[in-house]
Amino acid sequence: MATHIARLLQGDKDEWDEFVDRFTPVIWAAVKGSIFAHAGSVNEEDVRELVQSVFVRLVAQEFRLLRTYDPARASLVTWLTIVARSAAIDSLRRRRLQVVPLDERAMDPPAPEAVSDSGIELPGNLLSPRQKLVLHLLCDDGMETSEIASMLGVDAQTVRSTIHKAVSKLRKHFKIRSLNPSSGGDVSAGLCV
Amino acid sequence: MTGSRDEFREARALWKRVKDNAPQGDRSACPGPGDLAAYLDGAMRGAQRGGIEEHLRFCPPCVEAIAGLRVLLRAGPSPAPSAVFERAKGLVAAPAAGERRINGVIALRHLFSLMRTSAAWAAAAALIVAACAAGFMMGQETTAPAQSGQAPVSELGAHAPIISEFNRLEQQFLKGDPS
Repeated sequence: MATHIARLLQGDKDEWDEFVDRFTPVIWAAVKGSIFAHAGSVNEEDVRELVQSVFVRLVAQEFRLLRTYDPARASLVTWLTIVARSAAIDSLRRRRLQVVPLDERAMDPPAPEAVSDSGIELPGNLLSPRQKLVLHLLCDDGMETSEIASMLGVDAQTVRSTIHKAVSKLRKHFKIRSLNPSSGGDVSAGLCV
Repeated sequence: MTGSRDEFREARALWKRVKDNAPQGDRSACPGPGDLAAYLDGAMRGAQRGGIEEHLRFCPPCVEAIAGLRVLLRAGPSPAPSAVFERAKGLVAAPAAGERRINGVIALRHLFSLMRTSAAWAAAAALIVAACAAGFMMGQETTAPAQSGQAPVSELGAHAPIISEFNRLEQQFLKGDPS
């Protein structure tokens, strides 16, 4: 694949045609699926235009975007799906801005920050990033274990096991702290919320 | 019990407690397409994966993106109308007439290069022929009185290795092998 990409980046027309034959169904599915997920319906003409815009992005400025793809890190299918989804979401966002009148736009609340304020620092990295993420998705976002599993690309049992391990660590941590008068009390008081 | 309702309830309570006592956490930038793709393909391990998952905890749009991308990747490709392929192919043009001329110039350079090599071989061959001819003439001058009446072909005997080498070089030249 790396050889094909290298030739394509040199402007080889045959390589480009082969690339289009191979990956148009990937980009088509990603654009169509993303629009459907966000708008609830799909206009095929919109999908056609968006797929073409993805290809335009890929070839623009002598394949500037395509040059950022690293075959050693991920498959081209995954990378193109990300690029196609991003193009579709951007387009929906722009369209929404065009439709909303200017005065309403001014009244819009500011876009939610990409960052929430649920920062947590536990001593000595008590929980792994994955354990913290799973607890966040379960407790803050209200996701089901099957949804978390789907998002992380693991099975539901792995998620349940991750929760179990995290709870064990936290239980132990707060129990130790509860023996210390400055720790803020017994954890059992807040267990059945 | 792992994954029981009670354990989930306990998890929520403990998590709330953690958050209530927590300072601000990591607010790193959203991962780009390359990092996201590597994460989705499972190519990230250890600290790299931890960095992404730490970020996900603070970034609902990225959580939504990853969940959506997993769905898209599981669904796989789907057939597109043929017009879409043709339009995309048109973005990279076939070599135009001017570009063919450029290709022609490159081909000519190739040819000149070959000719230069050939010319070198021709010069070498001419030198060998000249050397053979000179040697032959000298041989004739020194041996003519004693060897008069002998067949001329035998007089080439002393120069046979040179002639043979010349023939070999000539054959190589004709085959286009400069070695």
